[in-house]
Parts: sequence; structure tokens; C-alpha cells
Amino acid sequence: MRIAFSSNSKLRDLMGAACIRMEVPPETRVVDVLENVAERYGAEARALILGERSGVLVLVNDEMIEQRTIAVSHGDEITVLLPIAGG
Amino acid sequence: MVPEFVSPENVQGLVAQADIVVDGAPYFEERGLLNRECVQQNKPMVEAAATGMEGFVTVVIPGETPCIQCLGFHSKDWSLPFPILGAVSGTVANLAALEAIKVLTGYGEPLRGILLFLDGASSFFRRIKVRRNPACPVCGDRPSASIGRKEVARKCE
Repeated sequence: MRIAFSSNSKLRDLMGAACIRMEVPPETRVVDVLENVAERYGAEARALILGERSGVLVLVNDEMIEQRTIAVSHGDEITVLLPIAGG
Repeated sequence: MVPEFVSPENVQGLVAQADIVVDGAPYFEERGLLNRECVQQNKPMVEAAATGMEGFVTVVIPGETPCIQCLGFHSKDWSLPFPILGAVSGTVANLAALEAIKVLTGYGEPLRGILLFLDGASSFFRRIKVRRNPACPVCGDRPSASIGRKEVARKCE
């Protein structure tokens, strides 16, 4: 099935786009998508998404999720928002 | 305007003298402190942040909406200076002012439970639905587990 993955800030720069399309097998979970993106874009991406030095907001179709183990569906957009402060 | 950094020592007094807090502080530690204090004093807070070409705004109404701690949005690697485009910080600041006016006047629909995210590079806004965390150490269902000011500041170190 086909899904989208989007992000911001440094991860967006690493991806070279705000949003990418991905083909994933049935029963893929959000955490699997995160692992896939971390694998694809290297150590810096892994640290940003899954590292312990920052708390990211994980969204499915612009809605915050409580558990990253939920399954994704065809057409879903998974988003990792990296934290920002400053103003 | 508060011309000083927010600290565990001054946060209680700063929030006590305000009807609403508009948070645009540069550090996560300051944001955590203001968030906790607003929940403790039952004061509404407009949370606004901007960096580079992006930013966001949301409204915290204690007891009703998620607080900032519920989002788990923090970074231990955040440091100044960071790049920021004036047009982006100006846009986010204006949106924050608009939210503050709506909360104070009761007119319109403030961003309760919604985080409005600005992607300036793509000229795109997204409305993100955010949730309260019942186990949140600041606004969760077990106030006895509430963390103190100095702990909030340490969490981001």
C-alpha cells in the first residue's frame, strides 16, 4: 500500500522534500514507518526521529497519536514534527 | 513584554501578574516553566514558536486542552543562535496575538486542542489535532505526581 511521510526542520532537509511517498506492506505500523525513514536517511535522521535527546510529535493524518504501534492504512500521511522553540 | 529569561525563581511572580501568557521564549526550559505555572495558576497560555521558515501556535486552557508537556515536544540539543526569518516570526507573533485576543474577549474559536503549524517554505498551514495525556506530570489526572519548577527546568537540560 502507498502512504506519505512528511517532516520539518532538519529532517525535511535530510529528506530533500517536505513529503515523500512510500510503498509499505500490509500491517505496517507507524513505528515501522519511522524505522524505515531512519534507515533510509542515515544516522542523523535516526537520532532526530528515534533518539532520546528530543521529543517529537508523531501524527497520522494531522492527528497526534498515543501509540506508535497502531497500523497505518493506504493513503495515510505519517508526520514527524521535530520540536522547535524560539520566536 | 518581559525583558528577562524565565527561571524557576521568577516564573511564579511573572504568571501571577498576567491574565494570559503569550509564550515566545527562546528556550524549551522557559516554555516548560511557563506551561507548568499556567496550569498551576489556572491561567490560559498562547504557545508560539518559530525558527527558520516554520513555526506554530496553540492555546493551552488548563483543565480543558492538552498542555505543552502533554505533547512531549522538547529538545536537549536546542541552542542559540538559531536561524529565523523575520517574516516568519512576525507571522507567528501576529497569529499568537490573534489567539490571545480571542481568549480574552471570548469571541471566535481559539486554537483549543489544535496546533496550527506554519510551513513557510511551502506556504502551507496544517491544523494538527493534539490530545491531553492523562499521565502528564503537569496537567494529568494525578496531581500528586506533579513535577516541580526545578524538575521542569532539568527535564530539558
